[in-house]
Amino acid sequence: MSVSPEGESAGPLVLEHRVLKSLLGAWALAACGPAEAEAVEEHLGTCGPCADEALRLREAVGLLQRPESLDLDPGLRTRVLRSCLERRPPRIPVPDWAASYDAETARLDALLQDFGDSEWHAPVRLRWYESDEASSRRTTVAGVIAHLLTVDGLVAVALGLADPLGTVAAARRTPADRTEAYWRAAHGPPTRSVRAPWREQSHALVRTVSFTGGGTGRLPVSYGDYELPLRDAMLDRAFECWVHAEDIAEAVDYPYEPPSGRHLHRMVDLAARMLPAVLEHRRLHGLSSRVERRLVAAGEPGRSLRLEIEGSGGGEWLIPLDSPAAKGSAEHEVAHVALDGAEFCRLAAGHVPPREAAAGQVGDRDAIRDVLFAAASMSRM
Amino acid sequence: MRGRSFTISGPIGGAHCHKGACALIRADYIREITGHTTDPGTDQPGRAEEQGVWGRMPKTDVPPRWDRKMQQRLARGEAAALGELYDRFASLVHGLAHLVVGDERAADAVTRDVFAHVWEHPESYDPRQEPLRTWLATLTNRLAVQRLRSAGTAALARGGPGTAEDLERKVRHASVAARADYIVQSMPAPLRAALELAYFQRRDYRQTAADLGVTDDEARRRLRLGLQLLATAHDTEAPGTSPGIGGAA
Repeated sequence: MSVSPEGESAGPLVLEHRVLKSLLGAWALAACGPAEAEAVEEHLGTCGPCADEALRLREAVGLLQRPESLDLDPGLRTRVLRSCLERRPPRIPVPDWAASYDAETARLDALLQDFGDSEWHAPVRLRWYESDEASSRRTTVAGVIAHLLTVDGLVAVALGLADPLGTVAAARRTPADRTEAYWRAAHGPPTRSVRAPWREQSHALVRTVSFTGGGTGRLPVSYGDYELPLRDAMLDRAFECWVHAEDIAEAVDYPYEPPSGRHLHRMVDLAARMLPAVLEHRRLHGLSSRVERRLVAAGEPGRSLRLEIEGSGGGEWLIPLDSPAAKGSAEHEVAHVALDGAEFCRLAAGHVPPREAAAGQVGDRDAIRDVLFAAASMSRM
Repeated sequence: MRGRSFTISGPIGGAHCHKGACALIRADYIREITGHTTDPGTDQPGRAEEQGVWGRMPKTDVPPRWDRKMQQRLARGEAAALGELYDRFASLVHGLAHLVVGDERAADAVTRDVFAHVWEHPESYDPRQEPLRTWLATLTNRLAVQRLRSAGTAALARGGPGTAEDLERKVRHASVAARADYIVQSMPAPLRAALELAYFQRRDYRQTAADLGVTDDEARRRLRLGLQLLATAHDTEAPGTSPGIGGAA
């Protein structure tokens, strides 16, 4: 070590030019000892180049400032991109049905931006309904991102992209089995390192559907025991992304807004379109009320429930109750349920008990019960 | 704890290095101290290795792949590329703009203008010249300064307080502050860590050395180097001479 510790020598510190020069940064920051500072200052009176540098470094210290921690307005992304695309229409647009996924993954990524280790390892309880009972599974924020990565991977596989599970084998290709397999295969609990592959994959999905999914989006995406067309799968993944972003935000005590009205509307629409098939499935498994069905010919109007979604992104949907093949019909309306859009989505995500969900209901109570339970039963891990 | 996460990659400031500083700062030294440093959670993992810290120094002639691809995708008119560009750089652009214009809504407007410029004129960025990150930072600074100056000029014309000289001083001060912020964000993490300890936590250089697990010599070196880089924020280029930007709106 070239500088003797202070206090050892009684007289003024004598240092070589090389050492004095090396001290200039510490001196400018007032981060050297008094004897060293004195030696530097004495030197500056006699050495022009060092004096110039010292002045320059002192001025630089004045430029140091605490980094401001500004959260970007999450709505800015949509506004900026829209403004750009209006000025120069894209030759390769992001399909309309992928816009929600694009927006929701960007929002979640922005939430994760400044997370430290304590946030990444904060406990999260995933909640859903199974056999009409509330189920849950404990994980962490990083575990949730791993879950999104593996389930988004179903879409990646359908598009011919790499499977994030790699060589890890899941019992079945269902979201839950894939997630459990991924968690099990890891050497330790998931960490923040899962963010980059999740984000790369979500960007790759948006990019790929822009080229290959264009327009139709009918390519089937397998969820193990059922399939969705690509366009609905992307909406479903946007929905899941938001739901789990809320789980994460709650776990780290951050505010998180529902999706924009336009995106929320599409998510509600997906759920509303899936409800008739879910009702049918539940009927086959004895999970619905024992009511007399009134079957009608395919495409004919059937007994219906009016689902009224209030607030931004809201609207009205007529849900055929007795068969997915029947057409929803205002003339055959037997019940009317009114809920807030975000509340309906939380119901469909299994975060709200069906009995407590409806804000307003009129008409056939069994029909209402069946629809609300069917909505909750669409949730999964 | 919500703090800003910094990125290691990218060259310094507008890449107009002070001659003295450039002569003193050896790129191999920088690479040596950054080579093993990865900052998980940054927007550009692994970028320091990919492009070298001195993107502007004419020794790595291959432009970084990501930047080149991005430029091509933007030129092709791929909307998904614009989204990715925003996701990677929006907080940098908005933060720098905010430092100059000092107001949330004006910073939003600058952010919009910056991305609109890139989207409308992707060909004005040349990946062989400099990293996209530097180019965007320079563009942001310029558009933000323009906005601050025109708002100030309009206020003066309405009979607002101050003089044209006051305004110029304010503009210059804001621009230097934003460049300094960018330099701190872009400098190698070990230098930033040393400055952080010595300045914000008031550790002397020996304590800084101990905290970082390096020799006293090394701590002195990092503090000096960090300040030398920061000092280049004062080396403003004359308006309109930045080679990377053509026809900024």
